[in-house]
Amino acid sequence: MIDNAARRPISDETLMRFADGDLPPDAQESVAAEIGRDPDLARRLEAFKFTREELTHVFASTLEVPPSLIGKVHAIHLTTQASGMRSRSLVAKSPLRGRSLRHEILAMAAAAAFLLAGAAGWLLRDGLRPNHAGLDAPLTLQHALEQTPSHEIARLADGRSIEVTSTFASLQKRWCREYKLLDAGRVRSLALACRADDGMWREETSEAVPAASQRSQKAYVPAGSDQAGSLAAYRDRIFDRDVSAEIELGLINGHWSRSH
Amino acid sequence: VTGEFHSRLIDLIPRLRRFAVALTGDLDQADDLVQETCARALSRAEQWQEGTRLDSWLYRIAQNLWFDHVRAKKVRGVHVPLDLEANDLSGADGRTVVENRLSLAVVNAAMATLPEDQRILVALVCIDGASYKEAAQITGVPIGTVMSRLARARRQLHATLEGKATVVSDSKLA
Repeated sequence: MIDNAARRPISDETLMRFADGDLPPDAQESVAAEIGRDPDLARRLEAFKFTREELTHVFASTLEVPPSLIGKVHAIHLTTQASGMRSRSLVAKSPLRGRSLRHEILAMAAAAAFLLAGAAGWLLRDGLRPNHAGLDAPLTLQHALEQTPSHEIARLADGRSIEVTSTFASLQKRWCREYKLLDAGRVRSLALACRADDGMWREETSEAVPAASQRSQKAYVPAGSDQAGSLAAYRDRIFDRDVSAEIELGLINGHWSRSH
Repeated sequence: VTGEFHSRLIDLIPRLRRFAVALTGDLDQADDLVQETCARALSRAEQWQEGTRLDSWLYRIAQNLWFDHVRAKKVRGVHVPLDLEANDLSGADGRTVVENRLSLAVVNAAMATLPEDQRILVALVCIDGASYKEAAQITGVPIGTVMSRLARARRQLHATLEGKATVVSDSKLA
């Protein structure tokens, strides 16, 4: 365009701000118009659109935190609380400067395991040993339990999915959810998780759903006991009241902060 | 340390980890950095001011720890083996996972060619979605410098990655 010569050339910083939606609305519009007229600008813009969209996409997988890492941070918290340990001593043995902290933290995690078990002690008092003894559910499961309305299916990172079948309030004043774990189109297990005060969902009990031809291998279930009944029995022991779909939606939107 | 602080810290770990991967270019080192950042944050929780952003505070801690590490080692901070052609793409199982990892490896390798001060801006703005102002506050760099460094970094990344992205999508078709 001839009148381009009279205009200030559009800098890369301006194109970047345009791609990031950082310009004031009128400037955003005028830059869009310039880009529409000038293929060279459109080409330069590509670098900024590409780096935002592509990097966001590629790095999404790193949001999946290994449960062991969360466990280590819990352990650091508990150990710091329990012993008043200062992190100065941790940082002096930084894992980034040597690998010693990795081992130290593993040891701390082991030492803190009894503290975790203690914190989750209420889970165990019915004598029905939960599979994971109150350990936090993996992170994508946390998300699914936190955000999925009942009777909707949420996909987990590992390709499996869950369907929440009910939400209820427990006698221990916690929100609890029952769900099915689905894999390759088949229900593999039923489980029950409750949300602890720290905002983490903890699986309290689960039971495998055996294929018709196979028996479940659960050692702690007495021979002859009704598999499908044990989860239901556990639920009955902790059940206080049902949560309606409307209240459930409010809980999901409010991060489950409503008190019982 | 209050339970609420701990709970908010736990909620931020996924983003902190993503930031750490972008900074270190390596999943193991990133997880170490996350642990160390959390350890420091938990023991200095009283230094965090209620009403300010916990995520920015954590990023500052992680950034300082990483820069200390890089300086101590006197090496470039990122070690990413990149041998694109050597990656086996023909595995029948977990194909998507293989491709995702390849993409992350390729991007990390491209990120590794950037200076530390540019890479952290890419991590904050392009990956975490921070505004330029927030990035300036976290890094302590003037906002004008943030924008010029970031624009330079993004031009370079685009130039490096454009070809690689084609290789990845070609392999999908194979």
